[in-house]
Amino acid sequence: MGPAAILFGAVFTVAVATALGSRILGSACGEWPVRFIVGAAVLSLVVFGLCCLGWVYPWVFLAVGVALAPLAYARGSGGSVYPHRSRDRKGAERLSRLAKAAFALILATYFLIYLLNAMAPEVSPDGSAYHLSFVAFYLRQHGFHPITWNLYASLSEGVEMLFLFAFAFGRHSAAALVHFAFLVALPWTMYLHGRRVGFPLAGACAAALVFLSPIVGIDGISAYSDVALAAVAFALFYLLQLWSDERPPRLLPAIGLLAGFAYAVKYTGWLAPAYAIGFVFCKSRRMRDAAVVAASAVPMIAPWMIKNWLWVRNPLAPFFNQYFRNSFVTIQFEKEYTDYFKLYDLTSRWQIPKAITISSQLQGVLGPVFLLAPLALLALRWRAGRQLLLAATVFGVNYFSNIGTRFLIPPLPFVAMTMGMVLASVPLLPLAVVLVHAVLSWPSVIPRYTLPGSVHIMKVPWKDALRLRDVDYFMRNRLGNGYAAVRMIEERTPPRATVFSFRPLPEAYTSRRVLIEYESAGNELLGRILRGAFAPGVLPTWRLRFDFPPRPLAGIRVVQTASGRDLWSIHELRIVSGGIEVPRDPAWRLTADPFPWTIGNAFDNSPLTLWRTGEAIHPGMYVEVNFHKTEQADSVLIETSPDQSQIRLKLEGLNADGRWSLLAAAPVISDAAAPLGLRRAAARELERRGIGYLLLFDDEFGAGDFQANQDLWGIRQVGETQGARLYQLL
Amino acid sequence: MGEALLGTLGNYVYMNQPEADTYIVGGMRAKSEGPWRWALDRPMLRFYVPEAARLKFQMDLTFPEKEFHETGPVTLTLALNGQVFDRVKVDKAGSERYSNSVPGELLRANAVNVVAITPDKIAGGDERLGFVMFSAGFAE
Repeated sequence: MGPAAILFGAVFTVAVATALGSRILGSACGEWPVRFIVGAAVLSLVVFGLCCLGWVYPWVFLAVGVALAPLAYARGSGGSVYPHRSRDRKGAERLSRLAKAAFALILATYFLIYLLNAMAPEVSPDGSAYHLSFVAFYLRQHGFHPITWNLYASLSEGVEMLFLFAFAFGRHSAAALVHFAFLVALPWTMYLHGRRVGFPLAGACAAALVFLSPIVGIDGISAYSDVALAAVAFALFYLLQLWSDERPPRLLPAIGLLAGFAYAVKYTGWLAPAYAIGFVFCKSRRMRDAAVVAASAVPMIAPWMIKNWLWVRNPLAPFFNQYFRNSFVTIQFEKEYTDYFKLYDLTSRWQIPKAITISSQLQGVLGPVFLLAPLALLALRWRAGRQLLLAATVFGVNYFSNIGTRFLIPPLPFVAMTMGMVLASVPLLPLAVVLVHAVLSWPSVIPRYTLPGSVHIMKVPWKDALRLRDVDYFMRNRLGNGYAAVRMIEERTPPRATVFSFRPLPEAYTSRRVLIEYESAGNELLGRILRGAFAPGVLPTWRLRFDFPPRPLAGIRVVQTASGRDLWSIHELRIVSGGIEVPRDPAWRLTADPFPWTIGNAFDNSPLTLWRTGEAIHPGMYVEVNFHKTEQADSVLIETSPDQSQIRLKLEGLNADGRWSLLAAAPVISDAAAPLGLRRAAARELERRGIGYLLLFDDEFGAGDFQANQDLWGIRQVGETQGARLYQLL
Repeated sequence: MGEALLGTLGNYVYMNQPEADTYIVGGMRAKSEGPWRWALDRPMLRFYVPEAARLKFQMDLTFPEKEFHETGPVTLTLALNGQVFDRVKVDKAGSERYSNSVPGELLRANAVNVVAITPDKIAGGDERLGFVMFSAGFAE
């Protein structure tokens, strides 16, 4: 994709969003960044609608954009009739000509660095792994198509809808440039706010602190959503303050839209609607005003919840699975996933300040000057400072659920504003701090104080941005063997192939369906089937046999009675009479609690497929078979793997009179041989589930077994690149 | 149902399996002690081996300190259907996992195969004790 198409995709998207925002805000607010952000909310909703209709085509987007663009010039869309009220605080903070020039030079320099990085091929981990892979998928499908194999598809995708609009014309880099537009809009809005409330120097200082921050820079030039959320949050704050002062009724729907859009951009913006509704009600004491905000927020939030409900039966997916139980994400996975992000690899929360400002142990740094952030508390003496710190709390409330540095980006502008207000009390100090920040945020300086592997902008790839060099070389250099692997997939598999991988890949660069083990409960099962064929500990070699006096039974129930960390699983459950298995009858009613959706796997005669609780064991879990008639039995045999030593089971029987009674208090446990041919059976099982290829990296567990035993697996290596091997299931 | 639940032989046996006796031709103690069983002077086991591409013979064994002190290093001679296919020297006490490919021509596919594991030295006393066996059989 050439630079012209990339720029067109991004500029067209921003222009259409701005036009929509101009129409909505009318004369109530004439500032570009706010108009762009409000319009982006509406455009996002429009694209959502087009996705629902299956009308995702470049020509449709072009027609919609061309039709909407004139709105910017329609009546009532003119400049602000509420000019910013510059409460000049006796000129104490008036920007000197020197300060203006210094700020302009610094910001312009970084603007250029960011622009060229955003235009360069998109290589961010999450952007290439899922943000843009879904965007590309929706474009290929011309709309929404249920994605149940990747939990990230359940996150709200408000910004991805804008990415899709740009992607249709300029592909990956156009999408990244749309996020870059938010990166530009954010400090601009901050400065406007500072000027409005009589702190122009503080506003300029804060805008620079945020814009130059290494984590903000790398996030904002990538197809991520954190900077977009920060921009939406600050624009919402800005409109709330504007409405508080001037009370133009036209702002209320825009406030609602932005509050809802915060949720749509990223779940961590969930408190924005409550904040906006509460703010408006507290100020006006009119239910009607609050209702307008709420009613405007709902259309931005509800579609994502409804989509999730329809696709994965959980409106808040991939979280809260204990309340919205579903077959797509297990409670255990959610627990492990969220537990990790509470501390990453730190050992104490006291390490967070250093990690996020200097050492980069939490995937990027804000910059060392943010060690001064506690100064922000001194701004409590000003009303404007109190408002900002309240907003910082609202948008930072989730931080301890994921302490990654970029999760501080949404509250960062509010903190920076208050820091700026305090710093501006001392002449020239804001400028000095910004100068130091500019030096410390320079791409070649950052590695001097961060640990190796820090996430930040590394250079100015202007030749790559302008596509003067081979894009493929840049991608292989920056995305490593993951990119090489997806290109191999693209070259060596047919168009509708499905590939299974244990490790995440930059899926945005392949049109094939890639199933990553950890990204859904179904994928986890696939991984377990493969490992169960060769890995000690999960081979189906454990036998638990309940013996009881022969009797007629209408059903049996295996009940788990212990608590612990293990997950209970059953590969096969057999009912036996006189040493002969009672033939399974399609009329049998099989149930399980929890995770009833896969109980059929325990009755399918496959030693590899299994039913699993999906959550740590607790008393009361059960598997039940109702025969719908009486069957003679004297034994129940469970075949499973030995990785569940904490389980304690008892067997109950349903008598002909409909009463349950204890048949055996505990099973006899023994080992049994793993059947021969498990590897081939595993490959066949994956094939039966629509998988045609396996991708393995040489440093992954078991990779050597696949390579050495291709004949036993029934697979054939069809490609190898940079330590990644692609196998076809034969 | 596959394994020995119905009294049929499989390709591998754990000594704590209820049907372990079915696999033992001789040279083993009459009873398992939990998951293991003493092998005596010339243990012989039988397995039903289905058609398979490549097979390995595997054993999980232990040479207890006390008996090993008496015998010193031990060489095991492994024979399949009367033909020697491997010799293994064990030169220290403790757990051993043996796993090695079996010549395909010695195997009888879809039939019962007999494996003899003969130690060159065994500990003396009232009972002649060779080593402790946990599991043995054919695997891929």
